[in-house]
Amino acid sequence: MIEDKNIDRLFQEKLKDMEVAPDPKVWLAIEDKLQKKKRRALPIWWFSSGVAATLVLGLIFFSNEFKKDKKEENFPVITEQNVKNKTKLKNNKEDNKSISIENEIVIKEEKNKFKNDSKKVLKKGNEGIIIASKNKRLLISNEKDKKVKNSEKNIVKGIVNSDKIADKNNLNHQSKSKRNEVVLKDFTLIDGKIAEKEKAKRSEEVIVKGTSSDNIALNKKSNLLEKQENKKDFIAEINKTKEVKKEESKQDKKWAISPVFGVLQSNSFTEASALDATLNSNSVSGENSYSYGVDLVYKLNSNWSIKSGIQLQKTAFVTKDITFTSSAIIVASGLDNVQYTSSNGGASSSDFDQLNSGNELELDLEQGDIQQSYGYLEIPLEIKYTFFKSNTLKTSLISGFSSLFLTENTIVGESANFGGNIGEANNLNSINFSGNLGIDVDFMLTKRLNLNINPMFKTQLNTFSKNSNGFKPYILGVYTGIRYEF
Amino acid sequence: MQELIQQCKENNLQAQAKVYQLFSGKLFALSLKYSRNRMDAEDVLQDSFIQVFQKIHQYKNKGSFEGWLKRIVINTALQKYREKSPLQLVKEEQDIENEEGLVLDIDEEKIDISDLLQLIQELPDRYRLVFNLYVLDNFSHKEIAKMLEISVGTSKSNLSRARLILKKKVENYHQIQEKA
Repeated sequence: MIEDKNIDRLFQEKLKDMEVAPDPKVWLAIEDKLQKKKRRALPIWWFSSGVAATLVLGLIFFSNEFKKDKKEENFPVITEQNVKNKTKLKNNKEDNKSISIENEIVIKEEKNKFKNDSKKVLKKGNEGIIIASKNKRLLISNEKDKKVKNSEKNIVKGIVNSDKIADKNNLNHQSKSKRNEVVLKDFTLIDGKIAEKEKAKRSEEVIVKGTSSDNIALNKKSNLLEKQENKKDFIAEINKTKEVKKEESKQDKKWAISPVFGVLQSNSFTEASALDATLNSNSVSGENSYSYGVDLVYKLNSNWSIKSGIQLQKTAFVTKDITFTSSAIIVASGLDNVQYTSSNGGASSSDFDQLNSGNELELDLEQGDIQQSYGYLEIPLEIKYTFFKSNTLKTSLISGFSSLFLTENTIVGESANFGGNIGEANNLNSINFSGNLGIDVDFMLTKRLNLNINPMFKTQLNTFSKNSNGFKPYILGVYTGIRYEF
Repeated sequence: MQELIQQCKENNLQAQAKVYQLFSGKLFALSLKYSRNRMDAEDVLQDSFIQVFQKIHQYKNKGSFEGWLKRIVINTALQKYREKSPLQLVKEEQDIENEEGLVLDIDEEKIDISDLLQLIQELPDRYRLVFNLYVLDNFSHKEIAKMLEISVGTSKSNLSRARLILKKKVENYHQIQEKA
């Protein structure tokens, strides 16, 4: 029967309880995507936690190792020597009180005393690198420089003399030996040859004055023996210090600095648009960009280093097939994540309604692209582990993270007849982080200069504050620079 | 049902399959009404279910689960056609048709559901969306305006245009049926 029916009701009633079974392939596709998501979620999670774990473990490991190295290099020798010296000094004091004035014994005693003292000089030097190096210079120059050699002999004389006196005169003993210690201290701390000479002369004068004439002959004899012994000692010590110096110079190059330039390829883990969800179906591709700055590497030990620096990094993405008018961009309802600049004013939803309602139907429409760029000031903190080393090549694994401070944020539209700044993204965080992983290859050019090539993978962790539409940017970059070690 | 949802939250694939099995018929019908054709409807359904399982932890058991699912399908469809029609410049008429014009004189028993569905699918995207939202899913013009990011007036005019087109088509269909 024909009956009048409101069109709404016709559709409402007819379609109300409609059920249509979809093609089974739909579920297969869903299942596939769900499983992919699961599979993909794990490695990313693992990756970021892996980076963090490496960082923490690395820090713990090599901070311990570093401490251990330090201990081994410096402290044990000194403490042993200190103990030895202390006991020897004690012995000396006791001996001095009890022994007779027999020359041989005295000489022996003095030898010990001097040995101790000379060791003390060197020992003191070891306590601080700066002082040590000064001493080395002094000792080495002593060997070459006759004048300085004389002053050295004088000191030796002085020591012997004063101690001899002390044997005879216990009252003088303490003050004299104190004076000697002062002399020795001065000797170690003096900066420069002239000052050293002067001090030495002065000490000689003081000591010579205090020497009794009775002992002069005896002293001369003992001095001859002393000199020979002392020379041997000094040569031995010089050799030792030379060795130390060599070792130090090997490990000396703790720092490396390098200007770096990187070519970057930006990309996203997902095929979404960061501009607006409505553009998700448009093709979005990463552009080549660049990074430049300075790298600083601090070597902790032969295998581990810390790498930091400061770089300017630029990232760019292009969304294709956007329709433009001659003066504005029209997308159905404006892009969610774009803050338009007032001059160009991309079409808002109300503009579009006006268009829809036929006020402006004759527009020059053309296809174009939108390029979104953002720049960061990047401060990386990475750990470098050298796993291969030869005379010409050094290969390391790098892992760490970067702090990224937003410096540039632009969205530019471009088509055949139109181009210009549209605005900026309103969903970018001003502070972002990236997890970094890469390989660092150093080609040794000279002893201090290396050519460095460093491919890196950096995945950004905190790019967007909202509406990222699942857009997850990452960067593949090859950084290069000349590294100077010092 | 609660248990099933909980299992879905734990990414249990079997539970997800069960949910799909339970609701895909109704949701596919809904998707068909909002889409241009079957292929698009399958895309919408697929994207919807992926979203459902991704966002299922956001469902806090307030309101019916089916309602929540439907809302996701509708949103997915809206998103699809909002993005696909950036430049569908269709001249719109602001005047709302007289209700009289919408009175049909047909035998509804003779109208096939799939044909009726096809009539809706043939509507221009915006008209189809507004007609579906207002007539079949009981959204107000204000809500539609917000969802489609258009003005209330545009929503109303879109609806009246949709009704007119549908009425003409139904009448044509009826005539063809009569002749047959």
